[in-house]
Amino acid sequence: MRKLLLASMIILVIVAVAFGAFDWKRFQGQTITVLFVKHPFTEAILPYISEFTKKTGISVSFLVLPETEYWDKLNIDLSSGQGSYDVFMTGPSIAWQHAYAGWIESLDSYVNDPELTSPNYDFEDFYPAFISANRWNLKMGGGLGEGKLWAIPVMVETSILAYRKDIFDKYGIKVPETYEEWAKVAAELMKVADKEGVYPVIQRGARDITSIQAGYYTAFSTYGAKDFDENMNCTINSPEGVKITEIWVNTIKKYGPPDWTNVTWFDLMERFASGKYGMVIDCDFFAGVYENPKKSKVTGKVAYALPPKGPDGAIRSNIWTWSLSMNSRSKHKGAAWYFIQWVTSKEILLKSALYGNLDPVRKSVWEHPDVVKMTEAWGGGTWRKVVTQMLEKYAAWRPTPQTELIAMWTRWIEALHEIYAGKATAKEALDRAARDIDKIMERAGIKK
Amino acid sequence: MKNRTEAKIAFLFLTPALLLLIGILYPFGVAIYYSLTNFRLISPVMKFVGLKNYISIIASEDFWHSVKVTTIFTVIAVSIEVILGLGIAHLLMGKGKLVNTLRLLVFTPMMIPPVIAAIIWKTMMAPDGVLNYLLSFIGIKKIAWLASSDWALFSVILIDIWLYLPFTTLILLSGLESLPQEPFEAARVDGASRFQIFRYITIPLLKPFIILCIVFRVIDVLKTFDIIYGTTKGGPIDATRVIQLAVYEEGLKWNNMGYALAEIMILWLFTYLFSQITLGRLFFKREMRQS
Repeated sequence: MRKLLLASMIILVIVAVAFGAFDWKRFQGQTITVLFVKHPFTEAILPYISEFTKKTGISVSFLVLPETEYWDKLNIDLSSGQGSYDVFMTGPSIAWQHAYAGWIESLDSYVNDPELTSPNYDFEDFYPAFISANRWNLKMGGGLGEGKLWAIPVMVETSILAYRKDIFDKYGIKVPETYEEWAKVAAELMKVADKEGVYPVIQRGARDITSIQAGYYTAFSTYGAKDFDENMNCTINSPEGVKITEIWVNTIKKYGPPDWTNVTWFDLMERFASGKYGMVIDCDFFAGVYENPKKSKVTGKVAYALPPKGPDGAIRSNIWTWSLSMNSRSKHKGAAWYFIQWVTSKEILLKSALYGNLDPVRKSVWEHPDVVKMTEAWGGGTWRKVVTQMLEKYAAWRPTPQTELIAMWTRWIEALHEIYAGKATAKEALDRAARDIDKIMERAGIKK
Repeated sequence: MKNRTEAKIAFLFLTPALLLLIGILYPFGVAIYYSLTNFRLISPVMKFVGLKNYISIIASEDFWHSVKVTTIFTVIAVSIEVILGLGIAHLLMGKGKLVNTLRLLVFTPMMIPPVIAAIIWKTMMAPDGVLNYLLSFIGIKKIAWLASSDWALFSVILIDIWLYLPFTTLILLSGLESLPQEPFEAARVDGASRFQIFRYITIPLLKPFIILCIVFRVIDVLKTFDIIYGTTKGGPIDATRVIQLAVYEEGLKWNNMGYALAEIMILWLFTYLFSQITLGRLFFKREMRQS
């Protein structure tokens, strides 16, 4: 009897040592500082941070800032080499700059280290496209999806079409499947605009890079246009680029809000929810607002569809994925990795999804019964169907890696404003913008 | 100084001011240094390029556009603020409950943070916002305010006037109330008309206050950022892209810090020369009068 007990104890110890290679309490007693953007993701995570501290013994001090101030503060901290923030929110285009400047840690060595990553982490559970979006080999003009992993995504947003099913049904309007049809549907909606109290379309238009990011870039890519060619010449003024921009801006000009040049993504979301617009091609998870009777007047009246197809029949949605990066100057890299790992684990991403952090970047979370239950009623079931296809097939990061995206897209939205104001045709405005962008690339040493 | 101890005490009292001066001059000096380099926030290497940034800026179309926008903004905003301020100050002279209540109302905008005011005005200036609604009662068709590249600049000027008219009114009101009464009485006795009194007595006596108003407002308006950032962010297109906004974009958004600092230095130089010349004349004239 005693021998059996001893033998089983020895076996237990061996087993414990083998599986005990990863220890959540390894960095206990340390403190990390995290910088958050004011965003549904942050609101979803903050209530659980005390759980993290209990689990790991690592204290977390954090700061939450609105987006504009966030980038300023982050940039200043990173460029000064202070290392004040161990972990911070980022996205692919931002991570390109940070990686280029050497400000962030590459995370592969952490993910692949069994002593630093829990065996339950299941890295394969992430949708490949969204991990790819955060990989870059530091070569300007290419290399997306290759090279080191600079951040781990916590959510993703794709662009889909949300429309007022009640109005479409009432007048027998068909859901548009191409951008040309989209313009025609807008014209049809215009005829009943006064009666129904809606403008046909709303899209982002403020002088900000987020105006290029979502609906417009999706239309641009879907139509077959690209931002650069292999030699890093700017090609936003290609024939396809000009054509889709013409359709886009002219439709908004004729059938959209008259202050389009000031409409931010936030205005867009609020206005569609207020019931004053017929269609919008934008962030899919705004459905969380549209379907919430406390926040919207259109609950139960909206349906969702795939965004329009391009001339070649394909759909190419752009994405934005908020992700977490680690400061290369962090003095607590192990503890910082534990935080990133914990936030992006199955359990926490699931909890945050149920709290409103969408879309999930993990398959297991998207298909979890609780998430399915929460989302399958949206748009009478259309939302889940559409977004599943987006996550699996149609959504990926489209822009070309380079460090001057912010300057480039600011010049790009200026061109769209010029077209809108009637001060230039689409070709003229985009030609001028492409030349200016080439100059920006030359100045940064990216293009010779 | 009577003795060395007094000298030491005097120096001790000067220390805080000296520390403050160093605290201000150090970042200023660093900024000048960086403006002579090709410093980019995301680049680990930086080299001295001399006046290259300054030359690029002066050769840049964008810069001169910003100068034009800033100049229009400054000239119109300050002129209206001073002229209207003078008028309102006149109306607010005197005593009594009504005057005091009116003064309180006039000074209210000064208590609102500019960014909040910008957001409130942005909402009011929306195409179906309050402003167009009220204007429709007197038959004026919808104005595009902040959404039109033709109107946006005047719309933000309007916001600036709303915010800072109380400031000029306050200065000019205290100026008016501090004026000696004898010249006015003498003029009235001599039979001068109200307009003549205003033109030949009030204005000349008020000149120091007017110049002070102009200088303060010009220095402030040249730096305008918050109102524009809270509304149009420099758009539509680049209709409201003042120098300060361009500097912010170039430096903090596009990482071209050396370039942005050079642009700020140019703005500083102009502001410095302007204040020196105008205030210099003010004090020089005063000295002449006193002697």
